[in-house]
Amino acid sequence: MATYRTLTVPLTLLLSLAAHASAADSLPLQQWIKQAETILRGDTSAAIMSMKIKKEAYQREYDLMVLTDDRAESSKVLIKMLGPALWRGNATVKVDDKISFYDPRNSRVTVMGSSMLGDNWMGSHFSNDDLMRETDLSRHYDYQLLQQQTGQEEGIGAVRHYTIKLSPKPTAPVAWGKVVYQLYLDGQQRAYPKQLDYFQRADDAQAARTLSYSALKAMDGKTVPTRMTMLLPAKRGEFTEIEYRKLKFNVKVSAENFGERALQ
Amino acid sequence: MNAIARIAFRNLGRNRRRSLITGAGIALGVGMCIAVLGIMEGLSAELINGTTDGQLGHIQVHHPDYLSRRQLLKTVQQAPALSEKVAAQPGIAAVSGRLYGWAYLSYRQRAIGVQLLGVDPVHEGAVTRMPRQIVAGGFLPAAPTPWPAGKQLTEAQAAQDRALTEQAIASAFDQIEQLDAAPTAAAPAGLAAQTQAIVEQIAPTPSKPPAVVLGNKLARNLGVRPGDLVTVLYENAQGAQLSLQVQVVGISRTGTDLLDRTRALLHLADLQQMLGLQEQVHELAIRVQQPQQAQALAAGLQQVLSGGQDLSVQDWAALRPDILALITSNRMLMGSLVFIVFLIAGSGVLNTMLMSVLERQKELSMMKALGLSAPGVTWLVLLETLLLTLLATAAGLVLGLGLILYLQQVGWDIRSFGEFSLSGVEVAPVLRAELTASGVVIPLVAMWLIAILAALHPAIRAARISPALGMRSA
Repeated sequence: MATYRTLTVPLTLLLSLAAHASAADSLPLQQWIKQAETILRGDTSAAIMSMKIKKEAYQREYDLMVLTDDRAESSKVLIKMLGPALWRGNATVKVDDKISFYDPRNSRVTVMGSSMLGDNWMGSHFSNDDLMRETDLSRHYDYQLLQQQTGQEEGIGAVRHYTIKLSPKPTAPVAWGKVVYQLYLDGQQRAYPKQLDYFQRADDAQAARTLSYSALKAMDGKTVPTRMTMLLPAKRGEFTEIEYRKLKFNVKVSAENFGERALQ
Repeated sequence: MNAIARIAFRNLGRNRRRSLITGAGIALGVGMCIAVLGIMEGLSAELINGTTDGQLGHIQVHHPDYLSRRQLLKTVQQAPALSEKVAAQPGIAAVSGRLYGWAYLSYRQRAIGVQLLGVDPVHEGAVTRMPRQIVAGGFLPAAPTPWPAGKQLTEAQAAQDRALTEQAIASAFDQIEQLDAAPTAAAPAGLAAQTQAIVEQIAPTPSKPPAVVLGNKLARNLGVRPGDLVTVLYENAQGAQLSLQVQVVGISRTGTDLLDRTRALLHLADLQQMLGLQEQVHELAIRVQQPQQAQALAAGLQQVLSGGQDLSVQDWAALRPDILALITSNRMLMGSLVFIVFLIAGSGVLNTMLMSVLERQKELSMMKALGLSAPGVTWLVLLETLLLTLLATAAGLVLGLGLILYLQQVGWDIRSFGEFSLSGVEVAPVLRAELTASGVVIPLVAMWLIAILAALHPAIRAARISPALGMRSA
C-alpha cells in the first residue's frame, strides 16, 4: 500500500490545478466513494424513474419503480416496470445472489443464477450488476488520487473535484481492469458522483463505458444527481439515460417487499 | 533370361521353410496394412459424415460477420427466396434455413441457459439427421404454431398506453408514500386487463404453446418429459426481454455433449416470430449430391450469390478445420505405422536374401565361373526377391481384401472400449472399413519398393563374389 508522507502544502498550491498523490494519501478516498456510490440509495430507498435507451437497432423508454434495501450484507433490489404496456408488471428481483424475473403474461417467476449479472438489463446499456449493485466500488479496489481542482456545480455552488483511480485488488471478483472515478465534495464535505470511466484493462486508453451523473435536484430533502447517463465510447450515438422522478430514503421495507408476492 | 527366371523360382523352393516364413511375414504385413488403412478410411468417412450429417451439412451460408461474434442481428435476409435460389443450383441436394438465439429455460425452480435453434422440420431432414436423433416423443411438427401477427397501436391506443403508464406511476407514487404506513397498496383495477389487451395486439400470444425439442441431458437436468410446459425467457432482436410458455414434444440425442446439454430446437417460423426476425435466418445449411465436390460447389455458390446481400459461403472443411486436421493427423499416424510395419518386413527380406546369398557362395561362384556376368547375378537375386514378394503380396492382398470385406459387412465392435467422440463428433459404436484404391495400392507399392531396396545389398554382394575365392571358401 501507500507510503505515508506528510507534506505541508501551502493553501495557494492546494488551490492550484493539480496536486500530486503524495498529499492525497491521507484523504479518505474510499469513504468518499462509498458516500458517492450510496447517494441515491441510503439504507433503503424507493424510487420512480424513467429509462431511455437509444441503440442503433431500436430506441425505447421504460418507467420503473425501484426498491432497494442495503441494510444487510447482501443487498436486495426490486425493479418493477410500470410501462409501456409490453412490460408493465414485469419485475426483476435480486435477493442474495439469486435474480428472479417475473412476467405477468404467464404469471411465472424465472429464477436465474448470478451468472446473469453481467448481462444487459432489458436491452439497456446497464448490466444487471449495475442496477442490482452487486459489485461495490468502495471495496475490492485500491485508490489513488490522480487530480483535484476547485469548481462550481449548479445547485451547490463551490465544490472541489477529485479524480480517483481504482485498481482492483489482485483477488477481487470484479469485471473491470480499472475505473476512473470523478467525484466532488460540497462545503459540508459530502461526496457526489460526477463521472465513472470503466476500463476493460488497466492499460486501455479508451474506456469501455462511461457513466455520468447530472441534474442535481432536491429529493426527499437531499440534493442528489437525478440523471445517470451510460455511454459506450465505441458506439457513437448510443446511450441509456435514467432520470429519477421520485426518490424517498429510509423507507420501511421488509423482506416481504422483495418476495414472490410483491412480484405479482 | 528365361533360364535365370527358372533358376530364381527354383531357388525359392530350395529352402521352403525360410521362403514361407518370409513370405508369410510380407503377406501378413500387407494384409494388415490394407485392413488398417481400410478402417482408417472408414473412420475418416464416419467423422466427415458425422460432422456433416449431424448438424453441419456440407456447405453453409452466413452473414459474413455472423460466425465470429454470433450477433442476433447479423442475419441472412429474404431467406425463403435465397433458399430456393440455392436449391435450384446444380449439384445441390437440399437446403435448410436455421436461426439461433439464446434463452433461459425454466421449469419449476430450475433455470438453464440454452441455445435456441430454429429449424425447418421439413427441409432439415433432407440436409442432416436432426429429425432422426429423437430418443423420446417426436420431432417438431411440420407446420408452425398458428401465431397471429402483431399490429401497431393506433394513436388512441398509444395514448391509452401512456395514460396507463401514468396511472401505474401514480399508483407507484402512492405505494411508495404508503410504504411507511399501510403495508400494501392495491394496483388500480383494470390496469392489468387493459394492459393485457394492448399487449395482445402488439405481441399476440400463439393459440397454443409452440413445440420444442430438448437435448437429452438438458431435459434430464431440467427434469422435464415430453408433454411438459416450460418457460423460455429470451431477448428479441429489439432487445426486449420476453417470456413464453413452450411445450416439450420430444427429446433428442446427438452424442455431442454440448448440444445435448444446451440445445433447444424450435420450428424456424416460431423462433422467427419470437425474435422478430421474420424471413431471416442466421444460417443456410446445404447438402450436396457429391460430398467430394463440396469445396468446388461452395466456391460456385459464392459466385452465384454475389451481387445481392453480402454473404459468406463455406464448405464443411472450412467450417470445421479441426475435423479436417484430425483426419489429416490420423492419416499421418497411419502412414508412419505402415512405414514401420514395412521396415520390419523389409528387414526380414534383407535377412532372408543375405542368408541365401551367403549360403550359396559356392554355387554363385560356379555360375560366375561358367560365364554368368556380374549384372546377371544381381538380377538373379533381385528376381528371387521380386518373385517372393509378388507371391507374398498376392496372398496379402487376398488376406487384406478378405479382412476389409469382413469389416465392411460385420464391422468392428468397439463398444467394449466405451463411447467415442472425436472433436465433438460421435463415432459409431461399430467401426466399418472402407475400401479405397489408395488403401490397397499404397501398401502394395510400398512393399515392393522396400523389398527391392532390401534385396539390393545382398544382390550387389553376390555380384562381387570372386569366383575363385568363393569356390575355395565354404
